[in-house]
Amino acid sequence: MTWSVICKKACKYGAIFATGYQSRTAYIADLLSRMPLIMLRVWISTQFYGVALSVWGGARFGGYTLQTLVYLIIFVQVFSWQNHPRIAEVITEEIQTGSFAYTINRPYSYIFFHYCSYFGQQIPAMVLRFLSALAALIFLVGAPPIAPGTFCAGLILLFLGLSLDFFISFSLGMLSLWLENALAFDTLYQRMLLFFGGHYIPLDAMPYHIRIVLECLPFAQRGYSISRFMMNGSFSYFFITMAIQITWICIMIFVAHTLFKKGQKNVSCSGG
Amino acid sequence: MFHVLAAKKRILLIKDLISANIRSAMEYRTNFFTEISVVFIVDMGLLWLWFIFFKEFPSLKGWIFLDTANLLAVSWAGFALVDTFAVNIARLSNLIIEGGLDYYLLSPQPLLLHVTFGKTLIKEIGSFFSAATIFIILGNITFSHVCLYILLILLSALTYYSCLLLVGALTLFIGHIERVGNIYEFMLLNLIFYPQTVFSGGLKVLMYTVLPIFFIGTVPSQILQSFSWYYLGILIGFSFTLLFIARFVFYRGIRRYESGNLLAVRL
Repeated sequence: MTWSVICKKACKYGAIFATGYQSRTAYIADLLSRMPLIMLRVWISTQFYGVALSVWGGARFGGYTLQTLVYLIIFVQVFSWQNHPRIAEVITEEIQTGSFAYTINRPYSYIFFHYCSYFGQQIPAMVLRFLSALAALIFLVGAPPIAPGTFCAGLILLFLGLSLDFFISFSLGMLSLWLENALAFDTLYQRMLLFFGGHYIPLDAMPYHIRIVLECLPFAQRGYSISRFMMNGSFSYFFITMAIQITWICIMIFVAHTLFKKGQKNVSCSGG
Repeated sequence: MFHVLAAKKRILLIKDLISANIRSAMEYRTNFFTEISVVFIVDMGLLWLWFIFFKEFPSLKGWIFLDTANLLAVSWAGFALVDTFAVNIARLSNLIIEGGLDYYLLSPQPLLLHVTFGKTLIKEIGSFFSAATIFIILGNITFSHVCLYILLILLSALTYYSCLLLVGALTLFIGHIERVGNIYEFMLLNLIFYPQTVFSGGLKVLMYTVLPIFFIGTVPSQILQSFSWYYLGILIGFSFTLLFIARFVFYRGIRRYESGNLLAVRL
């Protein structure tokens, strides 16, 4: 592949990313309407964990102060927030309406098209959520206890976490080619992200063995592991998390690619 | 006599609408059972997480795991009833903005009743089974306790329903607040898990008024644990007052409703 071809491809997928970005920022009021919700969550978490720590009988729980615990939980919620429509919903709709048969014949990779579009839509929403949460956190619990270098390294994990989320959601959407409504599985995945991804209860509150299992599952990779790394700043934890994320991404790329290839055959058989 | 006949007619209408929607959902049996099982398993997983959490923090200002279990046994069932049988109420804002009320306005059936039970989302009933399972696990299965449980579920559902109706009906006055309606519903569903005893100040006021989680979950669960006529009276009073206000706002607002020129085929 020559440089000119690479540049052309980069421009093409960059344009898809930009389209996704613009479609998300076109309705800025819609984005802004979510800000009070995340601020309310900061308020709730501050009171809830303030009481929990006083019950615990110390200023720290699992190595966390109230400040770091609230930052941990809120960052998990900011990073693992589900934007709508989800990729599984988009693909299911494409399959049900028949437009899937049209789009797979376009001159781009179907999977990469959705991947770029996903990031284009995720980033503005996440940045706005992050800034509103940060403002509320600074007001209620103080300045962020994160070094700038740790934060930047955390962004690499966030990129990998989002990629993993994309490939899982994409694979679940592809199941619509075989199942009546695969969205039930996407609902399951979303709920598991909330419940087992440390969204409500920090995984550090779990017994050691359960925590280890939950931290190795993909549900923690979208938010909890990233947020935990940002709080403790341990680079050994960074590399462990990265290894887990890359392993899951490789598995899910294989699953997504296989489902897509087999699904394509299904479409050509039925005529789309 | 006339009122009895009217009530009978309305009950028959509700029965017909629900059974038609369930039959439609049962067309895809695999999907039906998969979705219900999924919701049930995940709900039980969340209960297990709270169990583990309360092993670390046995009491949060007097709130123990048993309180959370009772809270989920009532509130999940209440949420499930509304989210299953009254789907249109949760998306009332969208329905109004898109002109989706046209069909219901032209029908000779009572408007609010018809809108409420016009659509069913059967998968959410999985939460009802989770709630019922928790109630059974908690024990104390006597006839009077079961009757009390059913009454509390209905009151919890009524309060939740009234909140959604009120926010949805405000669309008729304010305009595009679909997103606010969605966020409001999301807040109610997500904040119910937290022990109410830990909140104080403005947050507590918020949970008694704008987001009446206290009346949807905490009061019914406390009545279930230790029955009190006083609190039951307060709960009934609050639920019906809220319903009356929401209904009043809806019918006032409906005069301002404008058709959205929506073309749709209903099979």
